[in-house]
Amino acid sequence: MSSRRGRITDEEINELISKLQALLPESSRRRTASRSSASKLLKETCGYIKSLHQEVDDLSDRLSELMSTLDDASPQAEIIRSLLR
Amino acid sequence: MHASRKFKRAFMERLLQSLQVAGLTSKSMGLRERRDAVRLSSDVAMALARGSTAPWASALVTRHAAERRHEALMRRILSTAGYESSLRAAATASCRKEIRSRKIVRRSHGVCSSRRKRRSSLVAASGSNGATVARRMVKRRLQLLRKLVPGGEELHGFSLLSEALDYVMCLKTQVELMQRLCKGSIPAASSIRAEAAPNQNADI
Repeated sequence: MSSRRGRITDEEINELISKLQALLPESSRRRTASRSSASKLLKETCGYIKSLHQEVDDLSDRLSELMSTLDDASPQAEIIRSLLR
Repeated sequence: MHASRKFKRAFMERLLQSLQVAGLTSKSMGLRERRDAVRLSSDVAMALARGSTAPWASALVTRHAAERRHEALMRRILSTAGYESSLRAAATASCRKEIRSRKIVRRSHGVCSSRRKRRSSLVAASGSNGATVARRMVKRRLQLLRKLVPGGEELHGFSLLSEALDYVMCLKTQVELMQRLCKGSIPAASSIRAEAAPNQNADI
């Protein structure tokens, strides 16, 4: 939805920016808090999304390995198996 | 700000369902195929749990549906109707993208030469303006954000930022839920299900 009724208020923009800042990891928040600029915020957001994508990739690797060993008698395998039943 | 319990629950349910139908325990699956199946299951579970009111969610499902090699698994996860409508959306999206890139190429032929002339005269006159540089940076980073958020290419300004906010929140949940599964912690995973009915006893 790229069309909005009426102009977007400054308040809405500020709220959005602070919500976004609240989501970003602690370390980057400290850095940007004092000299927050649109550019910095965007850079942090892009970087964060990329790192989250990477984490999901790694977790997919681990999870798929786990699932491939479901024939094992290991307690972990039994747990996953029970969840899937 | 946290993702809602309802979202987490729906996400986990769908994730487990998808992992089940993906046939991941089969020994004949290759490493890459298995990893792709898990990633797909997770992405689609997240998008479906979020619902089509979020443009990024529909775009994510469309993106996965567009890949031929995902067809079998997608058909199992979505209903046939769901899968076919995603295919249609994928076809429309790629049409639009092609039209857009053709326009850009056409436009830039004229613009590039005139922009070069304009820029060199500007620089000669005032030196590089700090505000202009900042604006260019913001523009470039918005472009990057557009590529990172599914369906972002269609969004601008405020909508892009609010979509990104929503997307980041769901991504964090995705990481959290997959971590719980990896750790194989029953209380964590099944408690998410149990939160649906707080009056029932969570069976562990």
